[in-house]
Amino acid sequence: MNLRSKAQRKLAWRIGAAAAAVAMGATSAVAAAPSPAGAAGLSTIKVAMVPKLLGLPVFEANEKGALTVVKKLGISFTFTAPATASAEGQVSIFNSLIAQHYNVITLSSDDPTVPVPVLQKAMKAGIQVVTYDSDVPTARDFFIQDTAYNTIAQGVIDATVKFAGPNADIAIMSSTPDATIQLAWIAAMKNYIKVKYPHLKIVTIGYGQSNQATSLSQAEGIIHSYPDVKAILPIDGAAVVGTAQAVAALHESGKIGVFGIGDPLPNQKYFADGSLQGLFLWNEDGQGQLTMLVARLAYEGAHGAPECTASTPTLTHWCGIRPNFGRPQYFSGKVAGLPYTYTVASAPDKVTGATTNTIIFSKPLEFTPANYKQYLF
Amino acid sequence: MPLQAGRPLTSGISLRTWLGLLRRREAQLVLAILAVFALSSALHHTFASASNISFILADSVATMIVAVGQTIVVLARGIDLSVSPVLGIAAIGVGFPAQDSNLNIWLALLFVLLIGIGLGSFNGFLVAVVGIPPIITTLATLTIYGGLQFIFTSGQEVVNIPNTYGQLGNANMLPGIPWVIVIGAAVVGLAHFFLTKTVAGRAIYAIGNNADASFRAGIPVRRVLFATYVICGGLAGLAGLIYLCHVGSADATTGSDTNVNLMSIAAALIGGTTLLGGRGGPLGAALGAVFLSEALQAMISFRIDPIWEPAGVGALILIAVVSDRKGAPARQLFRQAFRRPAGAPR
Amino acid sequence: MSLPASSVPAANPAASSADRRGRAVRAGRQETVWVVALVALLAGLLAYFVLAVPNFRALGASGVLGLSEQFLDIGVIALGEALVIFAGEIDLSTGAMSSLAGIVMATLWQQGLNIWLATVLALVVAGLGGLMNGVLVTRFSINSLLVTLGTQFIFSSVATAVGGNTPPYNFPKSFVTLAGTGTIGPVPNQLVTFAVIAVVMWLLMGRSRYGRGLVLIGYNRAAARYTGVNVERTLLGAFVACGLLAGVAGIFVSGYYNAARDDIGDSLLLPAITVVVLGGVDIFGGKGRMSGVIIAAFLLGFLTQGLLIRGDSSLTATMVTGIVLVLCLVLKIGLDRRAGVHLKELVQRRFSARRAPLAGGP
Repeated sequence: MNLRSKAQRKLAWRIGAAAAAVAMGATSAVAAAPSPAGAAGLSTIKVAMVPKLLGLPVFEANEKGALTVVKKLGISFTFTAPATASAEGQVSIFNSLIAQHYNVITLSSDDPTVPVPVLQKAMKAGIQVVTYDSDVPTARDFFIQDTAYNTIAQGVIDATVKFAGPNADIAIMSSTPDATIQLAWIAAMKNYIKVKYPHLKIVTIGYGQSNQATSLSQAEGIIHSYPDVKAILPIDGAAVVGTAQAVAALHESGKIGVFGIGDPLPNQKYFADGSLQGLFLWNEDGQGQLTMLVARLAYEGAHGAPECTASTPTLTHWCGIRPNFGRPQYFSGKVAGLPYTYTVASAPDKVTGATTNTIIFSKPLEFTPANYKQYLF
Repeated sequence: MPLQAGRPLTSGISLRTWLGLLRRREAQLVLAILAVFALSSALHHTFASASNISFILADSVATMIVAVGQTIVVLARGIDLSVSPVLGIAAIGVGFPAQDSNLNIWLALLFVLLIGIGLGSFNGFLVAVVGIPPIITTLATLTIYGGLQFIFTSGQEVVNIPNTYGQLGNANMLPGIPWVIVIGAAVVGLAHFFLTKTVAGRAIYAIGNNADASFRAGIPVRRVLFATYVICGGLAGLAGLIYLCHVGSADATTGSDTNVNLMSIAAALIGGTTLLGGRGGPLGAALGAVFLSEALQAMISFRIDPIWEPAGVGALILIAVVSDRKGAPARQLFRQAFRRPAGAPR
Repeated sequence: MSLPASSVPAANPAASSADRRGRAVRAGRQETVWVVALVALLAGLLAYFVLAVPNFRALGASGVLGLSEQFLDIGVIALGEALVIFAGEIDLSTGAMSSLAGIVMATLWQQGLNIWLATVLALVVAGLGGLMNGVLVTRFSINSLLVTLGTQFIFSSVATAVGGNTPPYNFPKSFVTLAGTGTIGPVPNQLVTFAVIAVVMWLLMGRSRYGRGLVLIGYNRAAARYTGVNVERTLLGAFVACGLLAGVAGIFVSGYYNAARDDIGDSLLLPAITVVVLGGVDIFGGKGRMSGVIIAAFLLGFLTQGLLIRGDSSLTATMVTGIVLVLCLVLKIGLDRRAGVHLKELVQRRFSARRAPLAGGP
């Protein structure tokens, strides 16, 4: 246990450094390495990326991002997931990955506890486990958190207040009552409201069950049952589409503000017709790339690769850059033309939501009617 | 007697006739719909707004159309558990061409019907020709079609439908009457006409009542059974187009995520159709779909925790089934339930 | 009409009694043939995976046995479901019941109760749930498909309500070992428990008066009543046992994942019914062998796990399950009829208006 955490601390350092390098304009080194010879000296490792389910565009964007870097990182890449968002389905996939001797498993978990035994089994078998997006706190080496909970919550609430004023009635549209991230975001929003806008009132929280049709009818119900609501905050991809559609269908565009957390591409129509005012999200492509980088580094760290040697030539550029532990102090840079930022935490932090060995990926991007057309995820 | 629900609704004047009418499931449902409506409106004046009423109706149309198809299958004593992926495949099947190359909406209509009929035919083939029990057939095709739906989407989703589609899904045909409601009403009306006024329709009731007797009476039982799955598939396909237009998006889980299978069966059962076949009809199924849609909206205005939503649907099914005793009063029902059944050994 | 019509097979009135007896013997023989076919299929499947999939071979005997932990929950539910289906009924609430049992056990334990006491109480709750289904079916004579369709929703809502936002996890080690991932030598504890239950079920269906009564109810309910079978009590017993076994599956699942979740059992229902049907039990009741169900549980489980280990996606594995089900049933129906009928001829005959109809019922 002690040994493990020591190794992890060391690795957290390395990852922080590596990520910093990537961020500081070092894209050239990873995404545009001068020649394939850059991968020389790296053994090929098998890395699996297991999102919550198949067929969700945000996870496919992660995959797309990952695919742009796997060759350079010497990764033989597999993208697989259950057809529905089921923790049991993921467990059975993890079991098969263990049997197939994968080197690193990266996953966005459907449940914070159910996969614990199987992931522990994987770690015992010498497999590195890296979670992204949704964590399994007790059974992984590293977690790549999408964004700091407080930052994204502040972004959404500030934008809402700018639209509806600090005394408005607002409603939240979430996915399911037990969705971990959504719960954390809601808590962060409530905290921020208490401190900054004490007269802003959350009148209800609707649950769209992560599908557009239910989100649509739930949002419709909120609009009719709470006529004083001035803004609705959908904080789940499907909820954004459903809420914007309900506002548009009821001809409330512009009268009821919609500010949420989601990807802009599915919502272009609603930005254009004025039923959606603002969205916040991290860069999904970049997150996929960072996940692969962390996977490689986790493997190297566990297999005792010296920190800065010629054996990892593509990664040498990050040697010597000090990581940043503690409060977020964002590094920023560009990957594939998109800006992103990240920070590394080694200790739990209530404000950002970080736990041990957490890499906070990005400051949220804000999508508005003015800039949504630039983003294709 | 078995054709009860299929009998045309005649207007009478005497009190007796009116009371008799109350025994019909359709009439009970209309009363229930009005009661929930009155209660919700008393709590929130906005519930009674024209926009809310038309939204509740419009929201129920996709389920309504699937429920009509499900009813036709169930009337012939079958069941179709594959309607959700059929709806989903139809929605993405025309959604992508509509999004990418502005597919003409009439062609889209043709496509969804073809998709639905094609998938329904495979069900019909397995049930009526090979002879695999309907519940098993459609359980298997549920997994197969569900897989196909995933493969067809290849991780993409339909998010940007052309305006003509959006208009169909949300714009009004006449002031206050959205297009989708007109389409839903037309489907229900046609199905009602088909089932009560045509030979083939009556044959479905006959088979549900007694397949052996129907066969002996010269009804081509297998062909009619095959046809019920084809019709159900076609209607599920049509519902896919309606879903796409109304919700404005579709992806790999469309259909299964809203549990179209169970909701369509629930609407049919609440509407008075029995799974034993031969009794019920599309009018009841349509009212059942409207009632479900209304009840879910009412739950929001009653501030009921959404975790009880499934329990509400379950309770409605049980109530619908228990009260389905051809008018036997509850008192008698309970007495019967706790009496030793005739012929049971002591 | 007090009997669900689906339980009465469409009898051919023209058949003489001798003909019928002959058919019964043939039916029995075909059931045996089916079980043997399943065993052969299972052996073939395992041989294929061992020979063709290096990662599967590398698991070794204990690893392959260990795979069973991932599908025995489905197997246990299938054993209970089989009882109900033998009698011509069905229980759609088993998946939700598994979730509920797991949640009840975990919540009671979190409240400070001893974990084994909590387990027993959870099983009692599961049994009572089954009893509720049974009472609604037998006393109110409502079709079981409808009853359990309704109670499925109710059990699942109750599980969500009891479980709350963060259902309990991280149970005591003794529980996780015994009910979940522990082994005796190379044999997983769950496999031992399953074997005990399977043997009991096999004896119940093959050697006991109760089992014969249950099958008779499925074959012909009126006849069962006249031969002195207490139809109501027998059915009630089947539903209680089905609920109880769903509860056992819920405990298995909670132990295996070391966590409870309000929807953890939802995905178990359809595979369990698939196992029963693949095992050769007639969905209308009255026909089949418990041994077939037991073998089918392993067949389907190893098929899915083997495909995953071969590197197929879980989507492929699910689709293959559906296709295997259809193919097996086509095969079985061909076997049930006569050997050597060509499909083309079958189709022609099936589609002709002059052929007798199929037995009705969903």
